[in-house]
Amino acid sequence: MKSRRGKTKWEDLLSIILLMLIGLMHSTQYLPQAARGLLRTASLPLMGVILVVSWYQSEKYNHLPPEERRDLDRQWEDERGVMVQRQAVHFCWQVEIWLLFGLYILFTFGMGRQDLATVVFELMILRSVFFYAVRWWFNRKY
Amino acid sequence: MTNRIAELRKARKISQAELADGVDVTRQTIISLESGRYNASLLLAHKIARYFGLTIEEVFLFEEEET
Repeated sequence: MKSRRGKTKWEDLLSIILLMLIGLMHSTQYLPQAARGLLRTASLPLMGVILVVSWYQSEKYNHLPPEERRDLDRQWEDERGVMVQRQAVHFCWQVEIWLLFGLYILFTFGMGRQDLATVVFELMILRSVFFYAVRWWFNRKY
Repeated sequence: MTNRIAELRKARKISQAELADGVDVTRQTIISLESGRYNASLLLAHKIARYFGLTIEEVFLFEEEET
């Protein structure tokens, strides 16, 4: 069975690319000057931290005893591990909804940016529709 | 639901890591099962029972008030 670690390396790389894209996005005119400057300053050290953490995790994994490595690989497939992941996904889903809602309030009442608020609102609707569609699909499948 | 995993494992002088290897789960899952924080699925219960050479009912004890 292919190791989960091998997959997470690609996922780590993907998250770095994603962060770089977000960094580029922040350099556009969509955000106020102050926020843009702050995000531009913060994104580079953040990317550095993620790179160092990814490298450290990879090195730590490579130097683990075989039993511990096997145990670590297995955690992504064993049923308790899967249950923990599902709980984490559910928690993240809830947090995301509240974050988006917070952003909507901020853009509407705090910054007076109805255009951005509309994008956030559309994103919230899209996520909900997508969630129900996926749930319907899985219900149908099983 | 309670279980006799810790009792059976100690009687057979098997470590948690060995049992975990035998039934293809993590040691943390065995720890959670033994402490009663997690209830095994039917598949895992079957694997554990087979590992000890017993039936599911001999390893996992279902209490009536849980119904």
